[in-house]
Parts: sequence; C-alpha cells; structure tokens
Amino acid sequence: MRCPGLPLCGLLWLGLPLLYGRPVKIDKVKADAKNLTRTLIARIQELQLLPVNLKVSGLDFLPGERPLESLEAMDATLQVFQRVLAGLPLDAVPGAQLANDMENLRSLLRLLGAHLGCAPPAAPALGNLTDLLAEAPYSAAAVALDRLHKSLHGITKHLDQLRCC
Amino acid sequence: MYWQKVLTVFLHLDFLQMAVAHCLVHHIPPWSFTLPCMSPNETSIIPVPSGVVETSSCLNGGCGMADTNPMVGVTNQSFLCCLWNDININCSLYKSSTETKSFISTEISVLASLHTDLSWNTECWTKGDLEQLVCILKLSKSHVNGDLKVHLLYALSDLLLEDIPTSSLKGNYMVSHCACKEHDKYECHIPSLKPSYTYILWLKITNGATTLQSPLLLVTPINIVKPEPPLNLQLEMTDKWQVKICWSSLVLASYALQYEVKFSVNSTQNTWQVVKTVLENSLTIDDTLLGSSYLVQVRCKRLHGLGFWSEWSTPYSLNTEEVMYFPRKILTSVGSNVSFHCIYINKNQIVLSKKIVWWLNLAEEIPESQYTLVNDHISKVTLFNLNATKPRGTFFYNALYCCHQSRECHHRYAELYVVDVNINITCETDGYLTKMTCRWSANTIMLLMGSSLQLRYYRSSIYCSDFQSEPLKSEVKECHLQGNHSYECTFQPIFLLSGYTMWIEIKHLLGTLQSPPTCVIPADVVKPFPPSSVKAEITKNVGLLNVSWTNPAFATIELKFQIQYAVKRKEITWETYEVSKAPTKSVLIKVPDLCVVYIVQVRCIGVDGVGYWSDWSKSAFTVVKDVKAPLKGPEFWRIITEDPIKKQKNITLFWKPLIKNYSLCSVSRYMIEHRTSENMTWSEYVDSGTTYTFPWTEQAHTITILAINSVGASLVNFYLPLSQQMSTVNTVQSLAAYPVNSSCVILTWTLSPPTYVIKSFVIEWKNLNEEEGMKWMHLPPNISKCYIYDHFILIQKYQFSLYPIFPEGVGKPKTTDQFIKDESEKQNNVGLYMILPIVILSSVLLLGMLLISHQRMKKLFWEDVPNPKNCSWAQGVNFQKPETFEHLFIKHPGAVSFGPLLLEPEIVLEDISVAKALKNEDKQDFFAVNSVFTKIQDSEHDSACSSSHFNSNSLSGESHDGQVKEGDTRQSNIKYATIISNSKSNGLYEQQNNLSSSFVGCFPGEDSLVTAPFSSSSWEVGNDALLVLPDQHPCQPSKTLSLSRVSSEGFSEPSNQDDTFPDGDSPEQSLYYLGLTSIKKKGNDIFLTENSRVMPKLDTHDVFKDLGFFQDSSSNLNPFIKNNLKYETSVKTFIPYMPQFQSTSVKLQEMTENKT
Repeated sequence: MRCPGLPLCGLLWLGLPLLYGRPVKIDKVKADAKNLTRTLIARIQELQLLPVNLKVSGLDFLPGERPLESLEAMDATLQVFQRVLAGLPLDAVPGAQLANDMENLRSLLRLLGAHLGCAPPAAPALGNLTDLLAEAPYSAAAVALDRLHKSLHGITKHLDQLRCC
Repeated sequence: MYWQKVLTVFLHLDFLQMAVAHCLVHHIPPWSFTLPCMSPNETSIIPVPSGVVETSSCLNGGCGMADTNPMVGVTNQSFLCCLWNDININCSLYKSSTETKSFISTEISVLASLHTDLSWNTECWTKGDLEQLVCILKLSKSHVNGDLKVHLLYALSDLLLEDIPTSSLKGNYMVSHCACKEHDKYECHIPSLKPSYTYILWLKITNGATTLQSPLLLVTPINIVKPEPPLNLQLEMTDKWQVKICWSSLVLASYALQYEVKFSVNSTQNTWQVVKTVLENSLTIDDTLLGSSYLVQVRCKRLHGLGFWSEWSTPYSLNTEEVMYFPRKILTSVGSNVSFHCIYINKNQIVLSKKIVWWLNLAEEIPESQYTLVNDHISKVTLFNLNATKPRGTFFYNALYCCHQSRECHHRYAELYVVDVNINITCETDGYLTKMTCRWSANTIMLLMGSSLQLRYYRSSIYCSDFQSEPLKSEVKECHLQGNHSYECTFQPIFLLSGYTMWIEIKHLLGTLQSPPTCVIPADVVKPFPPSSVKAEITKNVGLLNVSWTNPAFATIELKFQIQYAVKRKEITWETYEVSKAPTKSVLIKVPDLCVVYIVQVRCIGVDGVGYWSDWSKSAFTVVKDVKAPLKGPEFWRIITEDPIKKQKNITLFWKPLIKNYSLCSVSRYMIEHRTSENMTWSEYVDSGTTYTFPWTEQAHTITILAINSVGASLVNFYLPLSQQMSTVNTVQSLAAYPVNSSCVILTWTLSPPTYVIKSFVIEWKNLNEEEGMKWMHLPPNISKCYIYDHFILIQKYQFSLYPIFPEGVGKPKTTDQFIKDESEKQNNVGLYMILPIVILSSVLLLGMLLISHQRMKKLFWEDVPNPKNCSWAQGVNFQKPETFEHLFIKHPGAVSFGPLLLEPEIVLEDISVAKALKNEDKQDFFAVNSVFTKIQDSEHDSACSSSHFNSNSLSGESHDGQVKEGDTRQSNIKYATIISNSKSNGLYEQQNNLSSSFVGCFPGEDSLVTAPFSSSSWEVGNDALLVLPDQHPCQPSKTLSLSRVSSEGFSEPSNQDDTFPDGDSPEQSLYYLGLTSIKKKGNDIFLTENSRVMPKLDTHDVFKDLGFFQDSSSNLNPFIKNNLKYETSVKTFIPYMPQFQSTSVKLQEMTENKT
C-alpha cells in the first residue's frame, strides 16, 4: 500500500479538525466511523432485500467488487453509492437516512484523512446515472445495496488497520 | 332605440373580440389618465384620418384631460383607441387588418371636437404589498343616465403586446366587478397579483342595454406600485449622539424605497418644506429643532423604476415630548448590559446633562458612576448584568426615569424588559437512530406577552463546532406545543454524527432575543431499545440466577446493561446488578433464595454512559424447580405404643416437613431406612404424609429418614437408634421448667456423671389440660438449658420430658409437669420492696403531723378557755390545772365522749348534721346528741355548749360522709345555731342520696359561695326543730341573714362572709342563723317547720324585721319560702341560735330570757 509521508496539501487538511474547535481524538473518529458503518449495515439489512447470489451484468458502474484499500477509495466508493441511492426508488425515510449516514461517514473519513495528512479525495467522474438506474430499478437497488453492504464490511475491516492514507 | 339595435348587432358580432383584435394596447402610466369609452352608433360619423404618425406627447396642460372629451372613432372595419393624460395623448387607429395608425395630438384635438359618449378619469396602482392592483374610475362626463355596471376585465400575459394574437384573449380573461364608492366613482381590484407579469385589461360598462368598451390597457403591476405611507415616526439617537427621526415602512424587501421628508414650522399655515429625499428610513436632525414646534411628514416611493409616491405619513411633532429616551424601550436578556440616553427639555429649555440623574422604578437611584455625559444635553446611563424583570402586577418592565438632580422627574419613562432566555433544550434519539426529538420549555418566556418563539438550528457536517456565533444558514425547526408551555421538535432523518446547534429565538415587537445555543450530536443522546428475549432461570446444581437477553436492534455501539430482579410477591423490592463487560448477553447472579419465583428485567445504555438508559425490558420470570438434592433429611422423633393384645411395641415416626431452603426445592417422597442389630437393612418409602409406623421387634433398631426430590436423596440425614436396653439408662438428674412469659419457657437440667456418650437430646412437651398433640425438638448434647418458644397457658399444666439420645439408643427421659415460679415471685417482690419504704415514710410523717396538731390544739384550748359560769360542763373543772383533754370532757356528765375542739371560734363554719345512724357507733353518738339537746331545752343550758356538742357531732358526721363544709380558713364572724331535734325521731337519716337537690335556694345572696351538697329529702320525715336566729342588734340591719344549707348532716355556712362582713372579732358583726322547725319538702329547696316542739321566745317583730331584710335581699328565693317568711303566722317556731365563746351570745340569751 502506498503511504506517502505528509504531502503539502495534507497540511491543509490538518486545518479541518481545527475548524471544529475542540480537537477530536483519532480513536474516537475511528470508533465513530466503525459504529456508523455497522449502523449502515444494519439499515441495509432492515430493508430486507434478498442477497444477490448471481453475477449481474450491466451495472459495472457500481463499485464494491474490489477491496477498499485507502481512504480515498473509500470516499470515492461512498460518493458513488450516495448518488446511486439517491436515484433508487427506496422508501423516503430509510433512503434519506442511508444517505445522511453515508454523508456522515464520508465526513468522518475525511476527518480521519486530515488526521493522517492525506490529500483530499478527488470526486469520481460519473455520467448520468438516472437512465441507467431507471432501466432496471430492482436490479440496481439489489446490486447496489449488496455491494454497499460488502463495501461497508470492507471499510470496517480496513479501519482497524488504518495507519496511513 | 336605433343605437341600441346597433349595439345589439355589435354584441352579436362579438365586438369585444373585434375590438381586442384591432386595438393597440396602451401602457397604463403611474399617474392618472383619462380613458374613453365609446358608443358604437357614433363611430360611423368619425372620419378616419389618413397617414401614420408617430406618437407625440402633449405639452403640459396642452392636453386637458378632465375637460376635454377625447374622441374615439371607429368604424366597423377600423378602430381608434386613445389614452391621454396630463402628459401626452396616445391614439391609434386600427383597421380590420392589423395596420395601425397613430395620431398626433393636433389631429386628436380635431377629433376631440367631435362628440363622444364617455370618458373616465382613471388611476391604477399596485398596493405596497404587491398583492392587489387597484383602479379608481371617476366619470368625468356622462351622457348616460341611470346606474352603470362597471367591470374590469383582465388577462395575464408576459409576452409583448405586439406578439399577442388578440384573438387569443377571447374567453381567457377574468372579470372583476367594480364597486361604486361614490356617485360617479368606481373602484376595481385585481387580486392575487403577479407583480412582474404583464396584464391586459379593459373596462366594460353597461348602462341598461348599452355596453361600452374601453381601449385595451397594458400594465406591469411592479411599475405602478404605490407604497403605504411610512409609520412609527420617532426620534432616535445615532451612533454619533445625534438625534434622528426614524420611521418604518410596511413594504416587502422585493423593492427598495426612497423617502421624502418635509417639515413645517407651523402646521396651521400649512407651509411645508421638503427638506431632503433620503434612501434610508431615518434623517438626522439638528438638536436645535428639538422642543420646537416643527412638524415632520414622510412619504416613500419605489426607488427604481416607475411608481407612485405614497401618501404622506401622519405628522410628527418634534416637541411632543419633554423627556426623550433613546431608546424608549429595550428588550434584553438576563446578564446583559444596556444603555439608555436621555434628553430632558424642561420648559422649552434643554436641561444640561450634568444635572440629570437616573432613577429606576421611582424607587432606586442609579449610582452616578453609571452615568456618561455624552454631550451637554444628552445623558447616558448603563445598567450592568441585568436580572430578569419581576412582574409587578400588569407591569412586566422596569421603569427608568431621567430626572433633574433636584429630584424632579417627568412622568415619562423608558421601559426595560429583561427576560430570562436560558432555555434548556434536551434531545433524545430513538432506538432506530433515525429520529431525534428535542424538547424545551418556555415558562419564563411567557411572562412577556406577545412573544413568539421558534427553534433555530444549524448543522455542522461532523461533530459540534465551537463557533458560538450564529451562522447565516440557520433554519427554523417547526415545533409543536405539548401543553404546559413545553414544545417538541422532531428531526428525521438525522445526521447521526453531525452537531446540531440549536437555540430558541424569541421575537417580540421590541426586539429579538436568543437563548444560549446548545449543540447536540444525535449519536450522543441515543435512548436504545430495551433488550429483548429476556430469560431467567435458576441454574441446576449451581443455584445461580441466570439472566440472558438479546441485544436491541441498531445497538451498534457497545452497551452496558443493568439487571433488576426481585422475588415475585405483592411488594416487590428490586435488587440491581450492572454488567459493563462487552459484549455481554447473559449474566449469573447469586441469589439468596433458590426456591422462589424471581422477576427479572434488563435495560441498557452506551458503555461510556453517554445517552439515556433504555426502558426496562419485558419481565421474565423464573420457574421454581428442584435445583439440588435436599441438603439434609428431616428431623424426626418417635412414639412407642404397646399393643397389649399382640404384646408388641409399635413405633410411630413423625417428622417435620423440610423447608424449601433444605429441600431445594421440593420433596417428592421420604425413604425410611431400617438397620437392625443384626445388620439387616431395608428401606421403605413414604410418598405423602410425615408419619410412619412399624413394629419394633429387635433389641436395637436404627432408623434413618432421607428426603428425595427430582435431583436426588439427601446426603446429610438424622438417624435415631432404638434400644430396649438403653431405654432404662437414666442420665438426667433433674429437669426444671421456668416460665418466662406466655410464649417462652426455660428448661434447665443437670446430668449425672457421664457414663454414656450423649448424642443429642430430645425435649417433649405437651399441655396436660388439653388434648393437643405432643411437641418436640432436638437439642445438641452440649447444653444444659434451652428456651422453648410456644404458646403456653401458664395456669395450665404442662409436661416436659427430656430424652437423652445415646449412640446406642434413646435413654430414659426425665419428666417434670410443673413450672417453678421463683423467678416470677421475686419479680413481684421488687414492687413490694419499693412500696414498703414509702409506706413507712408516710406513717412517720403522719405521726409527726398528729403530734404537732396535738400540741397546737392543746395550746388553743388553754388560751380560749370557756366561761365556767355559762358552760355547764366547764363547771367544776379546774382549768388552771388541766390534766388531759379527756379529763375535761369527762367532768361533765352530759357531755359527749367524743368532741374535738374547734380551732378558732371566729372562723368556724360548720354544718350541723342530724343523722340517722346506720351503724351502731353512729347511733350511739346520735343518741348522745339527743340527750344533750333535751337538756338544753329543759335546763336552759347555754347554747354554746349544746352547739359545741352538736358541732362535735357534726364533725363526727363529717368524718363519716365527708360532706360537711367548714369555712375554717375564713376570718368571718359566724355563729352557730342550735338544732332542736326530735328525740324520738327515727327517720332523721333517711336518705343520704340525691345530693343534688339541696338548699341552694335558701341563701339570699346570689353570690353565696356555699354549695348545696345535701339532699333535701333527708328532711322529709324529720320533725326537727330548727331555728335560725337573726342578730338582734339594731345596728346591723344590713347583715345578711342566711339560711344555712340544711341537710340530714347539718348546716353549711355561707362562705361569702368576707364580702359581707369585715374581719374582726367584734360581736356586732356576728352572723346568726334562724332555724325553722318541721321542715317539709314541697318540691322546693326550702324547709319550714310546722310542728315544732319548741316555741321560740323571741320578739317576732324583731325577727321579722330582719326577715324583711332577708326578703329584700333574696329576690331569687323560692316563692314558697317568701310566703312563709312574709307573714308572721307562717313562722311558728324559732330556736335561738346562740353563739359560743362570745359575749354576744350572752346578751342574746339574756334578751331572750327577758322577753319570755
């Protein structure tokens, strides 16, 4: 895993905790991130969509098939899922709550990256997902939630070993 | 009629459509204009000018609008529309084609000479709130009589007019009815205005069957806005300590305003002068204007674009206030600092600021250190760290006064409202982690009426920010009133780890306040769901309370748990147990009682204590079941019975059921193990009951009873050896039973020198008087005393037996059947020991008192020696050498053997008792009295002696009955009368009861303190002669003659002598009694004699002279006695009452003798 020292731009990230006034311990950030990840997993399970046991083609834009090895990859993955979930026909309250939790999780990851002096993640380039999701909403929802579930497990696992960007 | 037909034709031809289709639409200007409406029948005569001319404006005044009737000419194919006002005229000619021609004013003026139907002076504007467009139509000239119906038709279009296919307006317009405000004035409204859109509108006027049509008008409402005039003109202080006049406007923030301010020196002359046009809502004025007679008015207008000026505001006088406060009212929060400024104008002269002092609520002078002299005439005061205003009645503010240093204040004051805005906001996130509910209470805020409260918040992306300042992007959260001034707001969905900074905004007309902001992270205020699937059981063999549960959903954080458990019964006492080890889903708890039902509940909270405890889970209950094998077998004993027929001994075993703490938790059956001396063993089972009988055939037989439950048999068991041989061994020497009380008996015993090893003892006891069963108990071998707790009836007989149990068998018992009561007797003697000294001490004291009184009596006796000449019993007695008291009395043969002496003759009050002796001793005394009395009559013994005897007898009676009253403590001079008694009377003492009916009525004075303890009925059968002799002394008419209370036991003297007579020994102050004989009871409390055996030798005149006094002074006497006393004949007998030891008695006696 690539672990740069302390990039210059990372110094800027150091300012992020300062914005929040009181210093936040990295352990608390990690613990909160893990708890929030577990909460997200629990929420996905509450949606009671059946697990996907088949390989579904045509949904390659959905991440989650590769292990997440960096904070940047985590953030990018969550960002994609945020957009995907926004386009899925989920119930209003669980869908919005999922989106909020993912937003919080991304903030935590950014704060963690700031602690570690990581460069701010770049926004992934995504085309118009609306049409893609509208073609087969159930497939998109099932596969998206399934992959998000796996990604969250990967994030939980990676957070335990996180030492650098 | 002709034109009406034409009109009908027009209508049929859809004139409207044609007109709209052919008319150029005119823009409505932001000023008044004249609008023509034409009649169709005149259009044909109007020549249509040729050529197209650009529109030109008229000169001011060149185009009269009010007095010039514009002409509109139309033909069937062409249409002329004009719109003119005081600035220009705009007319256009239309043909059926879309060609349009405009006319210059000169052409119009030519046309103007032509006749037309109607013209309307029109003014349209948009209201300041941009909600409504108003058009006022004023008929400038009318050729149409009758009522007009005016409608304003309008359509919305945001396209350029030229692009409008006018035909499209057909059917797409709306109609507003114009209300007639005055005779020729109509007001039309277009509601729900869209200010930036373009409206096409026209008028339709109907006069009967005639319909007139105005040209089309085009308007964009935002361009003809007429704001409301400014309000609330007031003086304020600038930052540079200048006075400015401020105002407010009721306009939306969608457009800016400009203001025009004008002043007038004297309102009566209406000489207004516009001073300045300003863009702000204030204008600084010169201080010199303050207190002047200037009036100020302000109006406003849209700053950009066209529009109307508003009306002028209400004039504001600069000299209305003698004291000006800046600001006049302040609303602030607790703990803040505020400043007020003041300009004090006294008699048109500004008071110097250094002469101004400040007072609070007219009661408290504000220290000078808080003053600031802004300039010569502006004083400033600052109040620090304010406390909340305490409402005083209906006043919710502090009144701040700016006064002259001479303590003269103007009645105007500034108002200071201090509100406690410390509102606590508490939030709670639900177990699903999707909803956060925040609650807050606003009790303190409600004190300030008119306040509106709302919760505002902003969210940080993650955690809480330390920025206390309100960011620009705060939002209002809708909250619902829950009652009792508490509000509840719900955030859903939530950002679990975002910081929600919240505060309460309090809006009031006086200003806006904010409570201190609080930041809440939803994840920190989670109230999780309670654990589910809670199970509780007592573990087998281990005997611990095992509680298990399932963690709640969404419990993604580590939790700690609290278990509360209690024995299930009516009054539950909870025990708690906390588990903080994570992850935990079960716990083992040591409990004291394993054989009861436990009720168990579990709750949880975040392991770090952040958040709230969940609710308690549903209750789980343990089931009572066997936990272990019984800890021990039952204690048992035996009864040996002999069957004489079979000649065998039967042994009946009986045992006490095992308590649950030993059985753990039940006993299914008992096993009796037999072992004989020949080592034969066998077992038998008892499923129910606690007795077992078997024949005893062996010399030695050992019995063991085991308790068995579902887990196993008891391991520790009692056994009882039975041996024929050992049953004769006697090792108990003595046995004694001491009752302590009805519930406890102490048994003690002594043993003979140890020959056998004693395994244990068994005590039996039973009540021999009742057929209740024998009771028993096992005792250890090493004791010689025990307490037996039972219900003992100590007056009944009990038998106690002590059996020594040897390893070889049961020995011979020692039996006792009586209690030893030494202990209790000793206890009783304790009381005796205490009482005896007291009795002895009392006796000694009594003896001492008797001796002292004896000496005293002896002394008195010798000091007050009776006159031997007048006292028969004293004759022959040598008073110079008395021997004893007895000697004195024995000397006189007629004297009564019993006769205690009076202590002092002056003070003795005595009831003379004539008693029927019920006892022999009394009879003797009484007979003695009678004999003496007889002698009194016969031999004219001095009354002193006889009364003395009677007194003695009376005292004797007193000693029996205790009802004689003696006034021995009084120093009054009271003499005693004699009582003449019938010597043969056998009924003097008939009755001693009914003491309540006594002689109260006999006493003349209402204030008499003498009570009436004696029964009148005791006189019923008595033929006693009783005379009360009044004092014969003529100088004492006012002395009270009291009828002594007469009873079977004697007189009782009036006790109010102190009031009647002065103290002293003067014989003139003596009180005498009259005795009335033959007293009968007439249902009253007075008795009079009828059959007196002794006639008094008294001057009845003198007697009744005094009796007359008696009558006067006793108005409350019984009428019966009054009658008897009133008439001379009613009194038959008087017995002289002779004083003893007094010279008065001698005189009285002598006087009586002389008269007889």
